[in-house]
Amino acid sequence: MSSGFVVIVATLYLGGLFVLAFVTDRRAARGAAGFVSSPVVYTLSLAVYCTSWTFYGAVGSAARNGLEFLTIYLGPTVVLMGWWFFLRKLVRISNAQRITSIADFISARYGKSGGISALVTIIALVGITPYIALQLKAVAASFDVLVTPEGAAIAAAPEGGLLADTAFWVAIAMGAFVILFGTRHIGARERHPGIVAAIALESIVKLFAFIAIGLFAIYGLHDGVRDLFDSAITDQRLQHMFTLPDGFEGRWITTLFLAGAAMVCLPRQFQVMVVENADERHLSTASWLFPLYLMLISLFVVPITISGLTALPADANPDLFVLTVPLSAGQNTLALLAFIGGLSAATSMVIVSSIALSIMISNHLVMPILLRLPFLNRPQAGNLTATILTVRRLSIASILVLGFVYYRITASSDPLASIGLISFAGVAQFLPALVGAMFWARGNRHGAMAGLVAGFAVWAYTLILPSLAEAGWAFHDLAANGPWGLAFLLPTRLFGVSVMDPLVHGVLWSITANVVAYVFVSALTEQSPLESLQSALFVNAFRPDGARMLDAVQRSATDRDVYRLAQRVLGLERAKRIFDDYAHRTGPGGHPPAAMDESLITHVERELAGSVGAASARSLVSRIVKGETISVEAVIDILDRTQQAINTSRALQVKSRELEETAQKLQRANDELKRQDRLKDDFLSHVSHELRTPMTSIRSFSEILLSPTPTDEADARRFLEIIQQESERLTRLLDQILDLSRLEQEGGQDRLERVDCAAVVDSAVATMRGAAERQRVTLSIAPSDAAILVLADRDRLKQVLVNLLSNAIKFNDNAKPSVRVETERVGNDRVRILVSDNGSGIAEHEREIIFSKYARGWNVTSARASGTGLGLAISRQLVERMGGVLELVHSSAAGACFAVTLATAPAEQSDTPGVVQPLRHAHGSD
Amino acid sequence: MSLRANTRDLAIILPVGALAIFLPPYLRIFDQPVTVLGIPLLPLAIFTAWLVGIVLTLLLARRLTRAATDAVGTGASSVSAGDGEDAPPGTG
Repeated sequence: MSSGFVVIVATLYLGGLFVLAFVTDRRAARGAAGFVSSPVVYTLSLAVYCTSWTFYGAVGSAARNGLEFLTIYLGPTVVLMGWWFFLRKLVRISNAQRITSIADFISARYGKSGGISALVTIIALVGITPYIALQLKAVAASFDVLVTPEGAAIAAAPEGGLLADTAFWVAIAMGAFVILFGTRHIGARERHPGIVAAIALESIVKLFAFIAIGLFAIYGLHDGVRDLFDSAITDQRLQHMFTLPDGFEGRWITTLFLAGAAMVCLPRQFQVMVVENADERHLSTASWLFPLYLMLISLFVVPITISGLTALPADANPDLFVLTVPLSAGQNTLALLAFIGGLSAATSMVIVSSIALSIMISNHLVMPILLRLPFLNRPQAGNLTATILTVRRLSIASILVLGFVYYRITASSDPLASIGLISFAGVAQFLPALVGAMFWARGNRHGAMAGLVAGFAVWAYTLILPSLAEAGWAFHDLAANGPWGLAFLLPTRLFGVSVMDPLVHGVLWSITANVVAYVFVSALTEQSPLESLQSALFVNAFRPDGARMLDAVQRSATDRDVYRLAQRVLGLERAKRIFDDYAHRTGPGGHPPAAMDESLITHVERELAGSVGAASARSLVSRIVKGETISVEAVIDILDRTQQAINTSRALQVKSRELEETAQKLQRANDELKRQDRLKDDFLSHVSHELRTPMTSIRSFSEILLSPTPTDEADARRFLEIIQQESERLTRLLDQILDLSRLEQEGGQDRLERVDCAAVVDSAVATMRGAAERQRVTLSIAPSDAAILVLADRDRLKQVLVNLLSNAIKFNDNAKPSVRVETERVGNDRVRILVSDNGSGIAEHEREIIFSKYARGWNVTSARASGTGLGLAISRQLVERMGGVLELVHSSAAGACFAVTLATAPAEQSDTPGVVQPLRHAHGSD
Repeated sequence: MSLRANTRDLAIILPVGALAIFLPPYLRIFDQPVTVLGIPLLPLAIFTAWLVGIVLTLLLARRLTRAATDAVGTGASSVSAGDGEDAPPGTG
């Protein structure tokens, strides 16, 4: 492929990115951010994680170390899965504190310390510069492979002049891109919609390119997945792809840890994930979409590696398989696509890293020095905005120059993967201080400083120094013999521990030193008041009243000073807006209040922090405020009060639930009482009515008999008979009412005896036979096979049956009325006597209440016959006292069926009357 | 409704469980000289577990987001906030 053609394609592609970034920035400036602020674009921007180290290096790593390459993608997967506890808090805090970088985050938490942010910046710079160099190297190497006719040639060190080096032009283009779109203005936060859009597009391109190569390896070079593995499984060169070697654990766990830490600690990841985050809810989409992205990339590493190892000569560089696999098959277009994919991966990393690092350098290294210069500090000094932007641009240029120089010097050494991992190990030193910042309130500035210094030192000693020695530059003697010839201090065998892989060794000791120093120094020293306040704000980020903790700060400044400061750093327009907003919020005055209160000073400090970092903002503000005090007591007090309020509100919640339940129970009881009360009223009025009817006739006939007009003897006798009948009816009625109330009051059970069920039924039927004949009702008894003995009171059982029969006869309105009595066994120990009729049944709404003495059914029955209507209520009481059940079995238009269920008498029992298991208490017969 | 406690527990169980599966002692379970549909078991198992984890995270993220949105909708944040859960900003 001609180099001119490749250059044109690459230039067009990068030009396209410029256009996209430009258009997006313009749209965002008009307030139409649109698709850029979508969760999908956010997720794609996170994929800046996949650099050329992934694009080319993952296949190289797989070819060398087998499945270990997966850990680099599994680590971030696990971190994203735990977004709810970790990333969400990180983003929440950073939004509240206007955090601009990871250095800013750590320094803001530890008392806005300028020392810490500077240290973090230096570590990041040392750790990331080789990584940027790696990207440039990848671009140059891939370009060389593409334009060299042999294709598979191993990329050599760059020859010839600077201008012939592809990496040089890539670095220039990236520098221009970042300066154009990364430093156009200083925003409220360090957000760059144009750059995010370009990164998202690059993520799509690299994924697409990688999948295309992968699919080609599966379906172009092989005959599908099965064929791919068929040939591979038996191949000795590929065994490490399908199994885990002995002793893989150390490296596996280490790389998994490093990758997870890098997802948060790499300055570029922090930039896209936290600083550029426009909405906390985007995390919930990224939590599954980003792992999916990583999984897809990893998935296609496998076929490319297999194809590379089987189809290419043994000396081919596995780091370039992604290019050489399609090239060797003559697929030049595909190889060009791979080159563009790799270019995307490299450029997106360079862009975001240099922007993140330039923010850190300008805010934490350069600005603190500039702010100490007298001429910049005079109140009448000019606008700082332009100065800051210039510093940023220079920083970007320096970073790229640094990366490029590093690349030119080291171009021929280390394979891609080891540089990446050493870099990961460097930024992983931020992790203890970062996690402590969010979850350990006692962690303090001294501890964080000690941890960072210790971790960084051990990292440099155990990982950087040996790699420099290996490259033959320096420290050769030291790396071989240890300092002063002390073998137990050998950089790769600290304290004589020699069995470990150098990476595992370096990470283990550096992280151990880091954590131990952080924890111990924190525990042994005190926090400053500002640290206490910040730690309370960070650790309790999810508390609703976190902002109130700022009440603990007391300071004052004149409005002119604050306004001038805001104007100098933020520009006239934004300073004016802040003050107008504030005035609008606080009252209708329309002018900024004369005496600045703390909330406005805090607000301005935050806005400043969003531009120059927390430490610089604080140092700027502290110059114009007077009498600053932070009351630790106030912070603690607010924390305590919040805790108390939470506890109280929980207790109240429980209490109110209980009360609600009780109220419901009371309501139900009340309803039941009301119903009973209504039924009782009904009952009383019916009883009065019933009593009144016979009383009336008795009275009127008595009056006739007593009247002076002589009455006919026969008439008089007839009247007396009526009086007698009515009196009897009255007595019966009163008896039954008394019966019922006595039964109810006494409760308990009667003395029961063994009774032949059939005999009682016969006797009851015989009693009712006459009544049945008068009403022309057919009364029949179903034949029962054997005598059944039940435990009952003979008379009462008969009374119940007579009552049921009498009802069945009386209310049977069928043209051919019939009533049938049946006895059957239920199970082993119970007997059921069924009384069924073919009348019109019992109305639905009456079925529940016919057994109640207050029931309306009572009225219905009494209206039609001589009965009192209390029959069923009394019957049920009687049956219950015999330990049985009286129920309505079924009722329909074709008739009703009542059943009396009783216990059978045990066969072997003697004839002496038994007592059924007492329910409440035993009592004598009544 | 404040965020249900079991949903919150799942939010920590899921990443911890995923981490455990991807760590050596458990990973060794799948390190067998066996193929499934012609694919070696170890890579197949890792990618399958990965995919299952992604699907579970998706379902859980939906649940967490819905619960958080509900908490805002009913104005219950003053109580629910005490559990460490409150709504994302900008939804109220």
